[in-house]
Amino acid sequence: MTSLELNESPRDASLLRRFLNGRRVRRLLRHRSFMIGLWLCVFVAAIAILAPVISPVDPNKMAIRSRFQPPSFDFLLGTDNLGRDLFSRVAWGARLSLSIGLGVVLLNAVFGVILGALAGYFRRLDGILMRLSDALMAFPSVLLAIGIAAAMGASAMTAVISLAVVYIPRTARILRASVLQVKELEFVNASRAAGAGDFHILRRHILPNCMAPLVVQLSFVFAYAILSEAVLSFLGLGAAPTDASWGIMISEGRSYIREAPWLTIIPGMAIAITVLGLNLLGDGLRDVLDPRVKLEQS
Amino acid sequence: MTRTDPILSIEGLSTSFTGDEGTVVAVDDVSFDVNEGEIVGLIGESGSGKSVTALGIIGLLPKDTARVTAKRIMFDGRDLTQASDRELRRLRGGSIGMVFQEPMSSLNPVLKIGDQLMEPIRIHERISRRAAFDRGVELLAKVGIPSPAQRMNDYPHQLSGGMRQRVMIAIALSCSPKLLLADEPTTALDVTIQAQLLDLLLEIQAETRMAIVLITHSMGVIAECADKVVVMYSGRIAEQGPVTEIFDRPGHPYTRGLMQCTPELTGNPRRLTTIPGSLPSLSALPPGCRFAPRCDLALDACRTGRPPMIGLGEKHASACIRATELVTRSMLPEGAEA
Repeated sequence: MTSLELNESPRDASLLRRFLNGRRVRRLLRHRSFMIGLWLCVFVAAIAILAPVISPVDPNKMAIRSRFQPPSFDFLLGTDNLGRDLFSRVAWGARLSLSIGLGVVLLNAVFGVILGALAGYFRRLDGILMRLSDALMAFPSVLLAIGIAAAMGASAMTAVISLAVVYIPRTARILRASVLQVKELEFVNASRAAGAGDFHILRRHILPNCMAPLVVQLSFVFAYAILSEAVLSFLGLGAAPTDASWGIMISEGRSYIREAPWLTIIPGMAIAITVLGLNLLGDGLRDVLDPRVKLEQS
Repeated sequence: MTRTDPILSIEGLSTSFTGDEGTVVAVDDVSFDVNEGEIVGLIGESGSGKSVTALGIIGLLPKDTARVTAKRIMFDGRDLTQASDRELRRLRGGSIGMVFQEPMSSLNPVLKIGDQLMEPIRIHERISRRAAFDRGVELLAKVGIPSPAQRMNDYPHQLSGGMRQRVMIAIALSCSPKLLLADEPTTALDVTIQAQLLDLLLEIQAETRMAIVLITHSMGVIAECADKVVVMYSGRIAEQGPVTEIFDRPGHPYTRGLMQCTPELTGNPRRLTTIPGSLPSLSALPPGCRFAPRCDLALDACRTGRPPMIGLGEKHASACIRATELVTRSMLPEGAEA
């Protein structure tokens, strides 16, 4: 068939261009706060990725002689009470924070999606799963994370797991809500009429139509996870004290806040910039992807 | 199975829904046959139980709220009431195809036409993606979609409503079904497209000799396509019979009413009549004949007891106690007499 050959060519050649020309992508690129958020995130991610290259010295290298140096050309962001270079520590801290945030997001994406999809699709599971998530959500989130982290012993892995436990019920709820909506649509029935089984329908028809709210939710989970990780580390329940973590840096700098305010201000700003970036990104995504927001605006 | 056995034979199909306001019976003791190569029109107002009947046959009603019971639902020599979920799933999309009313929402917006067309093929037959793709292209060509190979890579929003319904028909036909359940396949489309699609269905039917259950609320569609008519009212069968019989000698006041609501192109133009009132609520059904409150021929006897099916000829029967009178005396509602 000659027409068969025709349709092969335009497929893969310009995938990127087609992506950038997509209606939603174009709207995102014109969305101001999304773009600001995107650049902030790219900035922080670049620092995290390039930490070994751009940090002038080992973040844990102590130099007693140059303690409490204010920001200068020698020490870009100053030094702390043990003479460690703050710029290096903030850069490596970005690595830690982003990895923990990413870990929480991945666990959320996997378990939140599985639990939400099952609860939304199978009525029998809905009751049990949602009461469980109610129970988890009844705890103040930071308190729950602190409880789990305290029970498991402080480490970066603990922080990831405890924060995942805190946020998975929220993600699952959001996914459940969209599954409930999508499963009533006619094409789900049509697919069933074509002989498709439950899991096939869930995977192929329902979940791909629930991605927009999930992406938005995950961007917020990312931001909360970074914030909460700082809280846990500040309380000594997150990263090991030797790690360069923003929360630990603030906690250590607290004792010298009068003499050396940059010890708390700089990691605090790092947290603020990252969380702000992710929130702006999430807001932009929601504006473009969530149909309800569009209705309210018009 | 002998030649004369119907491909689908429904006996005593009832469906009830349990909700917050208790249980309502949406389909009450419905029986009809569909022969091989026959088009049976299922007609009635919205809410008369046409769709629920069709969905009940292939087990597509939500299991947690709907309860389907039947003496027998014989399809192709098998009793579907005894079939397991697995068996039913194998029939759906295989030997029984289904077309839905809303072409706009019956296709998944995030999947390409081709993927959705190949879905039933890949579910029911163990063939390669390549072979399924080729079959998809053939099917699209068969339902009259221009440059079918390109359309395989389109998304639903790139097609018009009529094109999408053609795709839905292609999907339903993909595994050469013996029975096609078409649930108001043309209702959501504009009139010219409606006619095209009906022609397409008829053409394919003539070629494949599959049976079609055509659900509609248009007498015009029935007159054009169907061999046999089943008129439903409020979950029950009001009248059924061969299409010529029904149009020549309607044996139920409701069937008459439906015909008088339909304009004719030939003969003297007349004022269209309407049937006063509306379908009774399923949770507050009148006793006796359910059409009685809207029927101007109703007698006292109509309001007590369910009217039996009265035979009016070969395979023609009506659930009206005055059916024989209606047919023989050609009694028309007052004022309509010429």
